[in-house]
Amino acid sequence: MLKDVKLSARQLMILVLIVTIGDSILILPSLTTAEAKQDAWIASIFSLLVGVLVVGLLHVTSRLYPNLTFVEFSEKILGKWLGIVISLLFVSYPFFSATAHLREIGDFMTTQIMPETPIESIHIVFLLVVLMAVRLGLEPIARTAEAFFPWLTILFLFLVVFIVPQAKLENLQPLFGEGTKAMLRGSLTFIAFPFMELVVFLMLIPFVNEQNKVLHSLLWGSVIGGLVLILITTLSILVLGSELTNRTFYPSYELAKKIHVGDFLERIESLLTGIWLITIFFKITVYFFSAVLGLAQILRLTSLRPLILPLGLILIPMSLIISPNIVYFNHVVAKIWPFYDFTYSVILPLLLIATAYIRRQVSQPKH
Amino acid sequence: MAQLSLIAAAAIVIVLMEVPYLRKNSSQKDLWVFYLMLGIGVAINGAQGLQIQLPNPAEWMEAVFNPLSSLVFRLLQ
Repeated sequence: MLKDVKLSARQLMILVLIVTIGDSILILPSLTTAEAKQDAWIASIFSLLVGVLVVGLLHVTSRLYPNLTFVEFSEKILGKWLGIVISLLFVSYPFFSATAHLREIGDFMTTQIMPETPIESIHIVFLLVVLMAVRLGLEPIARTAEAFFPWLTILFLFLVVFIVPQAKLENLQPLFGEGTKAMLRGSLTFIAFPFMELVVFLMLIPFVNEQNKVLHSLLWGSVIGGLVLILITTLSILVLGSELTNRTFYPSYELAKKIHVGDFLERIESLLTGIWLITIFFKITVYFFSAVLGLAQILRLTSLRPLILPLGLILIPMSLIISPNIVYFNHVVAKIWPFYDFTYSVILPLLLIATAYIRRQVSQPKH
Repeated sequence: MAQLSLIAAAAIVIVLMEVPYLRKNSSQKDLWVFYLMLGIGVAINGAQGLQIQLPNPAEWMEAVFNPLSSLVFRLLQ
């Protein structure tokens, strides 16, 4: 299955970059600021440093078997049945994450842009595009990411350049006013959502044709993505102040609303919404693709086709069930989800590395 | 009722889109997996349409990770 699919190192880098930004650009500034207040920008820089370590760990894990996906090598390392159990758990992770990201788009659109539209219809339309992309396959997804990348850059630079004049440095004061513990609390979400969620790339790395450049792509993609997030968090605090950043749930949209160029260029926020619509689209697509690919490999199917549309059909009601109300969902996202990410991106890879190491130690004397 | 007929229509469209391709190009097992998954999808959608309370995976997550989460947040308070 998918033997002839090849990604270039550049495509991997762009995909990593876009997935790092993902839904984080929309919701992360508010979550981190809720804990760290005006020091969120320091927490975000600290998070990038920890995030690089997490990405390094993922790279080490992918080097165990460079040509196999996570699902394949966990069966190799843990044996058939335990491997299948772990793989099923692993496959459920991108599926539930995609569900949550879809819900985030639905919540965003219905609260900010299209309040009269039922949330289901937004989910269905958005998911149809994702399903189309996944049916076309990994290469078209990667090429689309490449094609959208310049637009993303232009839109983002536009946002930054026109919002910088409104920055007020006094919004950052008092520096370190909240103490170290508050900053650590704030960095939990900032480490988890952009960087730990990159663990799904363990399903895609085997398709890269220049394996020696994988580390380079992973690091540059995640570091540039992380810098974008640091910039948007800092700008949110500088322009809106920590109080407003924390209370409005979508600070980057709030930033876009504030842009006035002279007296003629106004209300361009829906244009700039393109930034996170594109990044979240790719995040959901990569996640959904990983879930479909993983499940197909567990079930030993000959292609991905039998799973794509039925799983999409399951995803729609799940995205409604997962958030009975926005207060509960925010609580889960802020307090529970970082630990869910942590389990899959740190504990599980460490477990696999340790087991693989022990197996190699034990089996060496025989040969 | 409208919702249920929409779900049925969606299921029929999916069958029409995928089954001819799967019959020609894939194994028997693929086809069985397809029907199984489609069945699960229709069942969940139908339950949702009939407003039957379905289990929320976020609640399972909360049950598993809440002890760790409250410990960490208490330590960092």
